[in-house]
Amino acid sequence: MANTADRAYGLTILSPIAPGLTADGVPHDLAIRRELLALDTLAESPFAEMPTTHLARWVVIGSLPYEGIPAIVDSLATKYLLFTSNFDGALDEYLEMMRTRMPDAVTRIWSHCLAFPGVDNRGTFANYMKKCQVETSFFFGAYTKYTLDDVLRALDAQRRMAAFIADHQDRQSSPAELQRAFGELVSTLASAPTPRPGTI
Amino acid sequence: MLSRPSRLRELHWRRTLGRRTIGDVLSFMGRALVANVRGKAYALTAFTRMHPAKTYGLRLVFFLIRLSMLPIPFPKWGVLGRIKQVQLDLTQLSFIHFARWVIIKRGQFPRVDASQKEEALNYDYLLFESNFNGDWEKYIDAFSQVVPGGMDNIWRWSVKYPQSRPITPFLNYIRNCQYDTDYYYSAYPGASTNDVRGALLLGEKLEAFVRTSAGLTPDEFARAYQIFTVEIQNCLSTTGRQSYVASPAAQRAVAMHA
Repeated sequence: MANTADRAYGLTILSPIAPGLTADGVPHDLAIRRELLALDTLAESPFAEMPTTHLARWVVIGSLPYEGIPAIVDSLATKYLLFTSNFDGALDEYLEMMRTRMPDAVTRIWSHCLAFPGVDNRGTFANYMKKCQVETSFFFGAYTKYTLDDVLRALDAQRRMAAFIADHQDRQSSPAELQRAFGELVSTLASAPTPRPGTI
Repeated sequence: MLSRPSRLRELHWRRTLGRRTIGDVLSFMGRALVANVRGKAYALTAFTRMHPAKTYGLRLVFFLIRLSMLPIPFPKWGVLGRIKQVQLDLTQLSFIHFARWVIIKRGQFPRVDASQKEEALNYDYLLFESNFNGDWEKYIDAFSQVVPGGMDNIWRWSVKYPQSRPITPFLNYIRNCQYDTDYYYSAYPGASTNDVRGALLLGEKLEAFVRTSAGLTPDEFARAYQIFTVEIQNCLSTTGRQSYVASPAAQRAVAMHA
């Protein structure tokens, strides 16, 4: 299936944005942009609550590009909200995680989209997202065999290992001291919790 | 009085800008350049248009790419062998986390409600989405230098695609088709693709070293450790927020907010 590469899934969703204005008299596309501007992008991001999301983005598509004559101008009848995510695992589990782990952000953003059913019901939410999904034609990743947990733990280990090497080079540790300290490092790495997404 | 080419250019910009919403313009003028960047990662989103009949050509290209990924030693002089080589070159570039191409047929834009106006488009569209490290121009430049054939085979079906070399018309083409990101998230913003690959490789080497160094005397361990550190030196890098905060003033600002 073109949406997947090894353990990674490339989700592409195009949701039609509601026409007209919000109750505050703001176009819905601008309201979405304001909501997105208010979201944290690091460790307090709603995606940090989703331990399988590597990278994700939202883009408001208001119009289509025009390359000039002799191409014909294509005008969209509806503006769209593009959501893409690169995550580990299956789509149904991911959509359920979105519904249950980041319901506020999902509601605030998608409530400006046409026919969004809300996050109360698992089935209707998943059906809506799948209705808006576009099949990826070709998906590529540099480390698709590894999960986000693998990546975060590896980056954490890399940081600790680099610090360990630098520290013991400076200290000129004796062989016995080096061996003991290395054993402690290995134990620490084994017991260390996975770093929170967005902190590295 | 404007010359004819200038007038055409002005008309083109009027038509293009006339279709932009206030949100589009704000996005362009305000936070757009920052929103495309998250730490070491850059989000590129581009739509290019294709004549519907040409879409089948691109589908064939993607089919061949997927076919070439099968674990079969295709001869290098054959089509599939050459495509495989392009993919190896792409992997060697080592600056792409994830990328995707999505063909959206003109009648395939989602319609979720009867009240939604039906789209009446003349073209199919190709969405390209990439998450990479570094500067936009360098990325496109490297892409066009290392895998020019691969790029051309994918975009040659798009309207007015200028070929990936020479680079200037190609950069202009992508600029015109690019959308600024309204929100961009990375679970490891302080890590480049090479940082991640190095860290994953380090994990494997560390595991092996722990296994082989068990039971060594301290002196034997110290010698093995020296060899190990030489072996893993390319797997180590500086990650995290501090690594891309340049000025002392910016570092102080980060420390205050930490």
